[in-house]
Amino acid sequence: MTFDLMVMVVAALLAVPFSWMAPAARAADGVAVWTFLVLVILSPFTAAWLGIASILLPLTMSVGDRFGGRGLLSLFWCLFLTAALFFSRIQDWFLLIGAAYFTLRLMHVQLEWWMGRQGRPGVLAHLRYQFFLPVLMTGPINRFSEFARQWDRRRWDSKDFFAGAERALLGLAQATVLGSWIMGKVGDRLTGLAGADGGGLWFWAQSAADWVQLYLTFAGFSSFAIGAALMIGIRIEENFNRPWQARNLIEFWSRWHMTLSSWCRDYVFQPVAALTRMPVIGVLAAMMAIGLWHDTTLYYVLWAVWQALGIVVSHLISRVPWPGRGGTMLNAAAAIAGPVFVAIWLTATRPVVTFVLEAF
Amino acid sequence: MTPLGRLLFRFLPGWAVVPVLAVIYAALLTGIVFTLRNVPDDHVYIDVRD
Repeated sequence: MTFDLMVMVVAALLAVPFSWMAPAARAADGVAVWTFLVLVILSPFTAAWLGIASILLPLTMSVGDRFGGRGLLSLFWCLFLTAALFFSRIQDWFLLIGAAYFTLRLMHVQLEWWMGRQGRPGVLAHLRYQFFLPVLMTGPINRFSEFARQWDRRRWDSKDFFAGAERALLGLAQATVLGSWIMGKVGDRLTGLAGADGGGLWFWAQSAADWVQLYLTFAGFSSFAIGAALMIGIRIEENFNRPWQARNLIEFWSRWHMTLSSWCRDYVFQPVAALTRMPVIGVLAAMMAIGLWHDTTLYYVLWAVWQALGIVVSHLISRVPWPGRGGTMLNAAAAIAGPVFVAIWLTATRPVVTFVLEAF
Repeated sequence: MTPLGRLLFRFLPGWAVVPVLAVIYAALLTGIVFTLRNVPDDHVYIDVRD
């Protein structure tokens, strides 16, 4: 287990007593200061980067409010933050803990202001939002307005506190014991078999095991973050909603890493689809954003094309006027065939993309 | 009562819920500590430095 992750898990739990010991009006400030100190210890550059960006963002918004130029200002911030995120992946010294998550949070605040859906946040309120330790390391990519509302409504509730503690414990166990330990061993075994067999079905099985491991680990850490936040008295948006039950890929992406999907829907899919009047371009752009958010490689470019193709196929299938549509038998068959199709498409991602990469 | 406690309450007599809950929590904590000590870094799918 990485040292940084362990430190952040322990530090997120330590934020809980701090938040309840501090005066209610200063609890959010206390958690933010604690988060800043933890970041300073782990990565001073990250602490400085996030601190400066969190202060400058609302300040430049106030300039935009006074003198205009909201669009240009927002474009600059989005390009600058995206470039910084990609740069951090190719330069070892430019390591930013949780950069993939806080970059999207910064852009969310900027874009909501640009679209006029949200006013300019105060500097302190924005710092509190960005420096919230439970969600800093692995998300969810929570929204500013809901976060601020939660702090306003915050009060002690022992039921929530213990439910949060239990969820954090279960989430951490899911991520570590099931996701890292057991699935790590399964992955090793499948890697050996895929290597000996030269690929084929074992390679596919390895891809399936990767999805299972990703789900267990990621949903586990999301649960930990949501549980730790609930112990502090803050409800954070859910990140996974039983994705294995999805009947098609459109539904799958609204159940898997929901805060990232909704971010891409709001700030990539909808604007691109509206501008081009072609939803399929919007889908491709959104999947490209999700893919490149994971890693800036050709693999993820092709990964995005494959996922976008799956969504288009799902959409076309849903429009086919099957005879007797709506019947009980057909609904029951769809309930089984849908998740099977989703599983096959997703687990085929790695074999297909690897094949294409090797072929060209 | 926690969500897991409520779930156990549906299947166990009331007096057994708290001891069983304690055993589950202890097992989970033991598993987490064991994993944190023994699992190599490359088995951890999520890297916070990203």
